[in-house]
Amino acid sequence: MKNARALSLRGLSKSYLAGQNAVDSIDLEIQPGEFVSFLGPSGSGKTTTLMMIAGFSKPSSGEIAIGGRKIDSVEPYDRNIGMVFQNYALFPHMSVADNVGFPLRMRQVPKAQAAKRIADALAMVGLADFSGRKPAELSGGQQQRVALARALVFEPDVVLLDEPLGALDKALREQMQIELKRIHRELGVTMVYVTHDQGEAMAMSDRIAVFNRGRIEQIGSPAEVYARPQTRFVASFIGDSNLIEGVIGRGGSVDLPGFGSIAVGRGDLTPGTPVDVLLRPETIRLSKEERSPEDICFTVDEIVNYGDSFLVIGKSAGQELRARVPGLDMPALARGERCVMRWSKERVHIVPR
Amino acid sequence: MAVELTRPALAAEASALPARALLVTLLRPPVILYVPAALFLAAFFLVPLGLVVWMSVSDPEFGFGNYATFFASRYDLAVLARTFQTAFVVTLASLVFAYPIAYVAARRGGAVGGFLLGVVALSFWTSFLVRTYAWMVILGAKGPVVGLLTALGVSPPPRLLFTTFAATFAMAHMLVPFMVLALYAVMKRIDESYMRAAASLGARPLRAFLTVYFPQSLPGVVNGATLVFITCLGFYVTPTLIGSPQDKMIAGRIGQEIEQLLDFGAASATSMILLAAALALFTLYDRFFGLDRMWR
Ligand SMILES: Nc1ncnc2c1ncn2[C@@H]1O[C@H](COP(=O)(O)OP(=O)(O)O)[C@@H](O)[C@H]1O
Ligand SMILES: [Mg+2]
Repeated sequence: MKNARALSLRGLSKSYLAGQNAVDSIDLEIQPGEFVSFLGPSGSGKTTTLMMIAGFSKPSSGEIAIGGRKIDSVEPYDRNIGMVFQNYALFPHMSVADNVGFPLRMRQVPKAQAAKRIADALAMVGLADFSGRKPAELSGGQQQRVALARALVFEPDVVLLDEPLGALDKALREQMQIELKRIHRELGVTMVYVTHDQGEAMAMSDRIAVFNRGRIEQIGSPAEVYARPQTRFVASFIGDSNLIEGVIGRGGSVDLPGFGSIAVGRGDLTPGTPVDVLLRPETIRLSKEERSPEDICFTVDEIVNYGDSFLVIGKSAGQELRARVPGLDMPALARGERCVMRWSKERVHIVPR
Repeated sequence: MAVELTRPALAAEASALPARALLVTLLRPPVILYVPAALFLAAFFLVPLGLVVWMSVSDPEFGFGNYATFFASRYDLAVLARTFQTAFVVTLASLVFAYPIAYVAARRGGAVGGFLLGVVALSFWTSFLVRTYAWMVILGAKGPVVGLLTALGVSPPPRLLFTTFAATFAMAHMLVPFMVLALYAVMKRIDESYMRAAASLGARPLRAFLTVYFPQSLPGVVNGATLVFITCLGFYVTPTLIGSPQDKMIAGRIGQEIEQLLDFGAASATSMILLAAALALFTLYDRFFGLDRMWR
């Protein structure tokens, strides 16, 4: 798509109260056509960052560039950025076609050409037959599609979406995720997607920027932030996790009190450095057969059946651990029972502290 | 579950004992809740209105004589027309004054919005009579406005008090708070994201206001205009005290018929004609500009 543009944020900060940064010195280079999610808990500065990109909020410092052009002094209506709001913000007094045609009218696109582009945009979101309706006559999911069509029809340089699926129910949300991904693939437009739902970010993004307290803690592909989180916050915010405190030992191993020493090949870390060891619940295997004296004992506290898998919560070496066991591999366990836990060493990830 | 059991039980009772069932139905919560309101409306609204209707066709003699007299009188018809015309102008004027106040209060919020609403509320709580006297002082022959005009060399200074202009202006001023509150109630519910959406789609502020904000504020305009127009139709004190004696409004005419001519029949008929005309106007208005239908 000819309109895909890069988006750069350099040292971007915003403080509402003196001495407190709602957004704190963010650096981010988004490639043309990339789908990047801002993922983080409520209040972590995602919306504030988005509002600065859109031009509704003035940065306290730093700069924003689209396609290499600084836009700090460009008014919101001249930025050519498509935006989808959480409450859709469809104009209630205009028909679906008039809503989608609004940005084209603002750009003085000739009527016949506008009509075609409106029809194309509505067809793309599967609402070709709804052009005459008023927003109030549509379901939440349909309104969301109209909002999307309206934000895309004028071929914006960048599209910003602020928790666009937050108000939809789970089934509809998953369907819209797939559809949004398809549209992104077809148009190849640069998209920035705000969400606090890690599953959503994992499913859709090329890269995820994990926000915490106004900072980006990590930016990387979904697989990267999941398997190799760089901070304790990222490790615990994305996916289910067990974090075990340990200390780097000699020869690139890590000493975990009660679990022994594991070789992790981290010779780059100074012995004695305190670290957290991330053990994803699905990497833990439970078994009733003891094999070696090094086996670690696991006492079951609680078992939750999810149908396809079981979540087993228990204790090992005095530490609470969660294990995710596929339904078919689940040994016959009962609460209070002791069993053996194993994990593969290559799945263990060290998080610096 | 309990509800589902009671309803068939009541139905069975109803078929067995009609009179008692009726009583039971009437005493059931939903119906009984209407009773106080219905009694109040009957005692203070329906009965007096009925009496006025009755008086208009029975005093001094039975028939539609009072109505015939009204429609045969050029003077009365002119008063009626002027009343509607004045109400229209006052409504328009108060809309022009009120819209920016409500807009700023609703969109700015904070201290500025609070201050504006405070001023509006203060004037809302001050009685019409007090404010009318205030205007008498302000517009009077020795008042500040005339003083200022004289100082500016306007001579002779125009007479402001006891003119149609004075009454219209004062009425608009008095009704601005109603208009502001009606507008504010609607504007406060227009989410900020609409204007942001418009801007992100390429609309400059004025364009965004005209195409997105203003249409959404129209229900407030209609509510406010209705309120102001109806209130203005019945205005008595202000036009009587500071308006031109030649430009009487209909409430003043009714007062004259009662106090000076002691013609209760004519006064009742005039009241009914005012009521009917107002209702007719609003029926037409609703038919053609049913704004509640605008975005459904
Ligand atoms: N208009 C504002 N005035 C003052 N503080 C604000 C304002 N908007 C956001 N904040 C604060 O900035 C921080 C980040 O908010 P926000 O960007 O909305 O977070 P998120 O979208 O990630 O939930 C929060 O602590 C919030 O309270
Ligand atoms: Mg937010």
